[in-house]
Amino acid sequence: MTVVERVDRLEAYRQIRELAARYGRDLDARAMDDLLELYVPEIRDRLRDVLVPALRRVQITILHVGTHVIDFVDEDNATGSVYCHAEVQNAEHMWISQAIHYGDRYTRRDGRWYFARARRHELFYGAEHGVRPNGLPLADWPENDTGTGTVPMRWESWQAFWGTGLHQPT
Amino acid sequence: MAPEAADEALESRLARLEAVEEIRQLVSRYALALDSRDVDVLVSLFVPDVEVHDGTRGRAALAEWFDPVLRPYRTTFHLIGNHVIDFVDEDHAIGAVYCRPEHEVDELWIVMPLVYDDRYERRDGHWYFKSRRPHAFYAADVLEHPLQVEGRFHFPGNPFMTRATMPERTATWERFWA
Repeated sequence: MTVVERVDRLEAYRQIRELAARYGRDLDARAMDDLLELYVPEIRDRLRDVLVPALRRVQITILHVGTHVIDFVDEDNATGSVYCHAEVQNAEHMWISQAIHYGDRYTRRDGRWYFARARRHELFYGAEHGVRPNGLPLADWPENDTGTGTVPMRWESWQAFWGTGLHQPT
Repeated sequence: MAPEAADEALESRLARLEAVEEIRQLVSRYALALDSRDVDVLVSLFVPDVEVHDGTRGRAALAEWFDPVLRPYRTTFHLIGNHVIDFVDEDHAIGAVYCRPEHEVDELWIVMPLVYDDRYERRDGHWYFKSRRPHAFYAADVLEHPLQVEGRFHFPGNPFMTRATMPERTATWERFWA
């Protein structure tokens, strides 16, 4: 890689990490214009129509982003996995903890990185404050904001490890 | 500075920035590989001749060691936070990573805030874990009070993590209260 390519890559890491952090900050503040600007322009209107009603169904949200794996496909495209621990005040004024995995695609346009599509939002679990997440019924998010999610059970490596394709080891 | 020296200085600054990114990726990849039980990816993050906790060596041995360690719980969620990286030289670094993992242990949901005591090493231009040593602040069910748990540690059936040693194990903590 040339020096310029290497610097590009370093900037890409920083910008992509910031996308995840900005998403949290902007969503929690309901800064919808800022939030939508994190996405490629052609999907912003469609996303606004989805996100605004969804965010009107909850009150306070606290998206604490952590673990972030970034894999580059080429110089302009990357995929990512982001963990988030969320606290959410829902419409029934319950206080909910959620462990979330976002499956992301990122793309670079005119030197700037964006989410290339709506983020794939997957729950490990959602549980009301004071409730253990063990064995809750399936959340089927966004149908319900509490319950058992789809990861890690969905992951092939998980199924291969337990050798059963099932959640429960035999 | 002569042009060659300037190039060399720039190269080493660039390599340092790349090292930081690679090391940051290492710790996130570790968490994801662990939670998805992808043992192949997990061991690929370590140097090929990694020294395993039981005294054996190599990635295959590490994979064998990990297997029983990763089975006493089902769903896990390793949320990474604070990450301090200190370079020893251009091929070696040490690090501290905070993590707040959650574990489904039968009917319990165990939370175990911990700090990883890491050593990183560059081999053939890429960074790997030389070693990882987790030290727990506490382990307790999500509905338990951490101070009402004996020894601040309640994690039934964990063959690897058996007690809470943070922050008392740090020399600075000892000195502060002396």
